[in-house]
Amino acid sequence: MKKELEEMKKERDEYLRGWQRARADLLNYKKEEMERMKGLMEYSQAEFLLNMLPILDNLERAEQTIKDQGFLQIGKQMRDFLKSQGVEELRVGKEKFNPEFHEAVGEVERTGLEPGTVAEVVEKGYTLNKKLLKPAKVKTAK
Amino acid sequence: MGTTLSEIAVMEGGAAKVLENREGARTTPSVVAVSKNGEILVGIQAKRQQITNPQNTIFQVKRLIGRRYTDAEVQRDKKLLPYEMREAPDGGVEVKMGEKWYKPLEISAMVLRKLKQDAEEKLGEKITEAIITVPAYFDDSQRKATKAAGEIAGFEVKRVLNEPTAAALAYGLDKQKNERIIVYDFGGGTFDISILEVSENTIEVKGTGGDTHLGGEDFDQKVMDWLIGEFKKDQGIDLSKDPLALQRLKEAAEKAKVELSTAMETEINLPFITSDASGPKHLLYKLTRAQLEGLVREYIEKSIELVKQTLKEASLNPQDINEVVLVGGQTRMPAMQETVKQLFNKEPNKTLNPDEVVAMGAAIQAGILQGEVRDVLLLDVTPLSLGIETLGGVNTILIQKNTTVPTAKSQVFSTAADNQTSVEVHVVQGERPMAEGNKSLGRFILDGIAPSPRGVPQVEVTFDIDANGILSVTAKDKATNKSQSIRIEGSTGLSKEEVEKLKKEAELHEAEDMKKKEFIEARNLADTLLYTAEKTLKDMGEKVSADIKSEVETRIEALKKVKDSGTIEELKGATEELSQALQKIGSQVYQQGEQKGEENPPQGEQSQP
Repeated sequence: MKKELEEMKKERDEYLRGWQRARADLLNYKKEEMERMKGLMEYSQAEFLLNMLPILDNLERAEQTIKDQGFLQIGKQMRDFLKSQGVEELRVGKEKFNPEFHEAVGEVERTGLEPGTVAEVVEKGYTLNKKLLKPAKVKTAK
Repeated sequence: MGTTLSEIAVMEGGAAKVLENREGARTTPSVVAVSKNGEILVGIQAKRQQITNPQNTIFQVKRLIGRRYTDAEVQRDKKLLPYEMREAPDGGVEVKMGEKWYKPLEISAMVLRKLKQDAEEKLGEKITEAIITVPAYFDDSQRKATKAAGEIAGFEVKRVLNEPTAAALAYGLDKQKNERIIVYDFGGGTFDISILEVSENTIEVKGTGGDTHLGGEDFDQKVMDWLIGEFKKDQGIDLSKDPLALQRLKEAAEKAKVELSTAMETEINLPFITSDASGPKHLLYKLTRAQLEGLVREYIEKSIELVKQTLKEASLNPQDINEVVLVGGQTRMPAMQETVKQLFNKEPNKTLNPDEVVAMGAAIQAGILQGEVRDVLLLDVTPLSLGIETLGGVNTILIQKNTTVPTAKSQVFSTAADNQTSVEVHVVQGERPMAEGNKSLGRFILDGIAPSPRGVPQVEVTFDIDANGILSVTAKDKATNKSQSIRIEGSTGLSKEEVEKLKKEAELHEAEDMKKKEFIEARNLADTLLYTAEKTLKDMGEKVSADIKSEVETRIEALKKVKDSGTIEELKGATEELSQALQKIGSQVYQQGEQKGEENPPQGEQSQP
């Protein structure tokens, strides 16, 4: 009888611990879930904006041939919208190639430039809230 | 440690989790470079300068690790890889990066060190121990070299684990005894087949095969070639000579391929792809899933041939295989899944992210070694939805499928007719919207409900499933507290086949079931409205002008006429017309009421069993 009681006590403690753990797990899970949601929202916004950038790239390609005022205004509208979402264009000058922000797509002969210097930006790079969203595609000097 | 990409995962709260690197990506390219100013770059940064610095950018070093320079594979890859290679004094391989010669394992160590540092930053603690995965066909020397790479990176390598075994672990297949598993791993640049045998506490590799130079990138190339060919035919311009156009084509080809795993058709839209004397040229083509399948059919067939060959070498037939596991992003392609399924006549395991399943399996193995993965409490889930039959034979679901048990759920129902004193509760299991299409688990009657108009009594139905899968259904009249219940055992214990059959049926009948349900819902709505209209006329007939009254009466007759014989459109139309006529009564009575300062109590709506 005593032994049985001991066993039951032990069992009870085990169940209680399991239940407490389950309660704690749930609360912790909820907290983690909140964090995860926040991360997910940031991620999905970045994904969305990233998928929009190729459209802007093409718009810019078009702007080099089509100089119609109305058309150019659409480009401005798009850039203003992206800016309002925290997207900023990477400024790339005649600087040393930096793989943190640049992606090399080719090399060109360019007199007066040190080899390995950015000679030409082929596709612009962008940051989202100061973090890199897409590197600038550049050609470097040979 | 993949040939093209690497990943790191940890155990957190008993589950495997892939960690993001510093750049925020879940995968890190297995690429290392020495930049032109002598800096060592690892991962995406190394990849970003690969085009302009090919001689000093080392990638796919997994093809060389632990191999002898004279190996046929090394000699073959030497011709394909753009960096310099030579025989090391010990007979191994050395690769040149910058001015220095490195062993492949030193390159791998740099990738591992980056993974380690990024993970430590993410987790905020030091990581000292690791499990590294390798292909099942790696020999002792390749495994030793991989382990050494891990040690150079600062890990204590607890185990060098086979990639297919890791994938099987991620799916929990180590628990099934005496099973044979085939792992079909179609990566970016390599295709690996492994046959595993699970027995008491061990997973043994029974056979391996594949093609070290076949992968998802070949699929992208096929799409690119097709685009170049079409464009040449239509515009007479060869895009393959234009490196910038090629870059855009490569990205677009991969994107199209990925999209066609979920869509039936996609568009490749590259404006201003090039230009000639006549001005800019644009590329715009549609690609269907069937076209893509036609383009890559030969590769899929080749992979199946290789699977058959591997089975043959292990003296096995497709029917000897109990489980099929898909690994690698390319296995998301429906045609590939279908072909594999047909060969084995078995649904493959593909619910986990095929890009991450190996890393996750490695983390699970680490958890097992550390004792974190205990079989503490295995919680079951309901394989199918549970519900009750409500007015018109509709299946009203209370507990959705895949709900973890124990669980409970209640909902309040009411009566369908005036002075109804009993309700029948019919418990069904399945996904079909009409109760009759599902499995009947049992029924009971709750009586003794006080006579009252329809919709007034409140009957609370509670479903409760305990940890053993025993379902109790209770119906309680909230007015009298009188209740009735039923106990159904084994509601979660359906056989796998039974569950599959019920799911298949639900899919098969989805369209007709929905139609039927829509019709019944429309009819239920018409019924309720008819009831309300007749009651309103009876209660407030005197307060309403004659022309409105006669309009409502006409509409009532019209709706009654189409209710049981008309089409759904007629039924919905007549219901709408009656509803509008009724509103006129409402507004007239309300205006009068307002003048008298009366208020109408709000009316709630309830569903009726």
